[in-house]
Formats: sequence, C-alpha cells, structure tokens
Amino acid sequence: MRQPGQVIVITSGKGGVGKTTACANISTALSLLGHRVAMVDADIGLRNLDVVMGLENRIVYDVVDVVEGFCRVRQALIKDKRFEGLYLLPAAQTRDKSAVSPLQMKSVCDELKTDFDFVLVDCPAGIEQGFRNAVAGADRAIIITTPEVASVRDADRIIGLLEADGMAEPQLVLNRIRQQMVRRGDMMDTDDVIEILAIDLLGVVPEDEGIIVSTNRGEPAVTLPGSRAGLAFRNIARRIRGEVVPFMSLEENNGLLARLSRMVRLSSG
Amino acid sequence: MEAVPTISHRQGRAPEKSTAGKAQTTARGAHDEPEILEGLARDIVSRLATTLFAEDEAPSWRRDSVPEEATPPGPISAGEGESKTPSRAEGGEASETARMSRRVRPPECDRPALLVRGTVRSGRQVRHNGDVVVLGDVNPGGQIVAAGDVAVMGTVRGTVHAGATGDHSAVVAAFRLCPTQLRIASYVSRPPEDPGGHPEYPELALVRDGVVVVQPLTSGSLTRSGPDETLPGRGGGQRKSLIGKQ
Repeated sequence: MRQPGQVIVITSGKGGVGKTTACANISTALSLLGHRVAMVDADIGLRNLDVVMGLENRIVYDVVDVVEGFCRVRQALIKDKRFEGLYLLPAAQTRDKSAVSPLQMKSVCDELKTDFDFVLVDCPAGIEQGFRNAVAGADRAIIITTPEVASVRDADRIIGLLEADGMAEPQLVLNRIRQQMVRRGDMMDTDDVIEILAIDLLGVVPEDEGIIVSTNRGEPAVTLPGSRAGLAFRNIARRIRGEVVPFMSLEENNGLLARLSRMVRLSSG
Repeated sequence: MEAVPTISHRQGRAPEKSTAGKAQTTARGAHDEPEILEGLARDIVSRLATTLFAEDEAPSWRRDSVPEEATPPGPISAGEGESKTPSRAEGGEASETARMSRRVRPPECDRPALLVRGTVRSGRQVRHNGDVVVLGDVNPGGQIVAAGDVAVMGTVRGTVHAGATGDHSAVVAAFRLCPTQLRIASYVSRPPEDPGGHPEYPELALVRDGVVVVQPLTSGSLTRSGPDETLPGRGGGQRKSLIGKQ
C-alpha cells in the first residue's frame, strides 16, 4: 500500500512573482529525482502551467471537467513524455474561479494523493476564491516572493491567512534576486525579507534571463545545464525531500577575475 | 422531441447558466440547445478518451503537401450548381452528385450558420449547432465548438472542434491553421512537430481513413478530396472526375 503523498500549494498573493515557473520547475526536478509528481493548475480562466510546461497541445480534459463529472481524474491527467512520473492536471481556460469550490478541489487533491508522492498546486494570485480553492486540499505551502516591498507585503498577508487556517508553517522561496542590486543597496536582501516574514527559507533563486526563454519554449529551466535558476530549483526540490543542501552562490559573475576584483573592492572599501 | 439528454440530467445538476455572458457566444435556437451541444461534444471526446488516450496522447495530424487530384475550377462550378438540389438521377452520375450534395448540404436541411466578426480571444468559447464562420483570428485559449464545419478567415491559434455532434465529414478551413488542438467529431489531433513551423497558405483539415489530414485549401479541395464517405452499393473512396462527362 503506497504511502499517501504530500499536497504542496505554491502561493504568493502577489501576481507575477514566479509561482507557475516555480511549480513547473520544482515538479520537474522532483520527478527527475525519481518521484511520482502531479501538478495541478488551480488558476481557472487564466491557465499558464500548461504553456510553461509545453503541454498545451495535449489538453483534452481539465480540472473543471473532473469536478463536474464529465471525466475521471485519470482521463484529465496529462503524462509528460519527457519526464518519467510527471503529470499535469490542467485548468480550464473558458471558465472562471467560480466553477470549482474548495471542497471539490480538496477531493481532487485527496484522490491524487493516493497515487502520487507529491502533488504541487499552482495557486493563482489574490486572496479570493482562486486562492481558497488552491489551498483547500494542501498539507503545506511554499510562499514565493521577490525581494520587493510590495511583494513582501502581499506574502505577509498570505502567510497570515494560512496561519489563521491552521496550516503548518509555510516555507519561503525568494525569487529573482539580483545580487548586484543588493550590493548597491537598491534591492532587499535575504535577511531583510526573512526579518519581516519570519518563516523558514527553503531557497533563493537568482534572476535569470533564461527563465523567459524556457517558459516561452515550454522547457523547464531545470533541464538546461547552464541555468542558474534551474540549479536553484533543483536544490529546492532536494530540500523538499529532506536533503540538506548548501545555498548556492548568488554572485552573478563567478569567474576568477570577477571574484578577484570583488576581493580587491572589499579590501579597499 | 429531445432524445438526447441535456446536461441537467447528468448527476442531477442544474443546467449550466452562462454567467460570464461575454465569455461565451451561443446562437439563438432551441432554449437548451447550447447545453445539448456542449454535452454531446464532451460525450464524444470522452468515448474516444477511454480507448485512444490509454497512452495519454493527442496524436499529431498528417500533413499532405499536395491535395489529391487537384482539378481546374471551371467545370466544378457547373457541377456545384447542379448538386444544390438533391439528385434523383440514376446510375454512376447520381452517386457522384449525391456525394457532392452531401458536402454542400441541401438548403432545406441547413441549420443557420453563425458568423462571428472579430477575433475570438482567449477564454471565449463559441458554440453553435451548425456551421461557424469567423471573420478574424482565434487566439490561443479561444475555442470554437461547432456541430458543422468551421471556416476561419484569419489565423487559428486556439482550439477548434468541428462536427462536435458526431459528424466526421465536417471540415475546418482557415487562412492559417496553427491551432493548439484540432478536433473533428471524435478525432482529436495536434500539430505535427515540424521544424519548419506552420505553412503560410490556407489549409483544410478533414478526416480521411480514420486520421485527421491537413492539406492545402484550393478551390478543388472540398469537392475533389472529400472526407470519408461510404456510398451504399459502392466502395468508398472512388473519386472520378466529372470533367469530360458532359
């Protein structure tokens, strides 16, 4: 008898901070580590997870069809042929968040739990029904935020809502950090963000142009060898499994010359 | 009159109300016609899904670079005029004209066609129990579900379902066919992964020999290389030219 999997919701409050990208990449990384992973797109009406994963051509049924009884979960799940054990339950595009209730989402997640090691739910932005639906079936949450005041403010609200709901303490992924800006004092650093949010840090992902290319192409960055963001997401996946993984260097240019010049600047400044 | 169950009978749910009025366009017909259409469209796809999607895949369509037996336009237009009335002639010509009349759909059997002006944007679903013509594009995330044929005078980047009530002789025509997914009756297909991308010329999609085939749209396409039709008393697939029979 298989041990039931964990349902993890990827949420943020703020839009555009990288929830879908994180969901796609963390799920892919977990499947590359040998786990059975189901991704659920809870952003009904504005679905993106299918595009980012390059699976939009394969969608026949979506989560609304499942919830309305037109098909079974099995029929709606799309098996990603590139990654063993990775499946996607897409959202509907022609409906909106009112098409599904939190209870219905919970029952879908409960069913997926029995067949998968990890179920990652991509939560939409906001705190209304879309958010309520996405967290309904979740065991734990990962908060995505960028090191910007507005984003941290929204993340704080979300953490408050999750705590009020009684969810286990969420973990933080700090996304799109630019170390050069941090050094100049133009961007919050990790400590600044943790000071306000006061939750455990799961990972830090550097800003990476390659993410835009990878999401446009539908090829998750974790599969691209040179991608620093991809490496960060792979480390996050390993930490989710319980491994202890040291945080990667966020220095944007890590060649010998750059490191030497930084040493010179530090000693003279 | 309705032998077909509407959505309201499914699991005791109330019939679907179109809450986001602008998001869905349905033609005025029988009061629960859109529900019938949607219910049937999903039934067909689900019947297919239990068999074909064992491998969880929408197969890619076959692209034919040249339509079979392309013919000059002249004599065909004469033939088309003839075929508008259901044929009562005897012999070989009768079957030929009957085939053509089936393609052209005699007026007394016609359901009104729906004409959509402008682009069908993402999230919008156009459902119609008949043929659909779009004067514009269909964007990714946009959906056309038609019981009959679909003609798009623009670029299709969304999903199109023709023959949604089971008519596998339905066709999809477009100036540029680059849909996310293309369905005809219970046949679901996606674009082949050609490195060249989609052609720039108008194309026609139809079902032939049990697969979805996409071919260039020429003036002869519909009458020459018609979709699968078995004529009673004749092997299907015979495509003799009418030219020279005058």
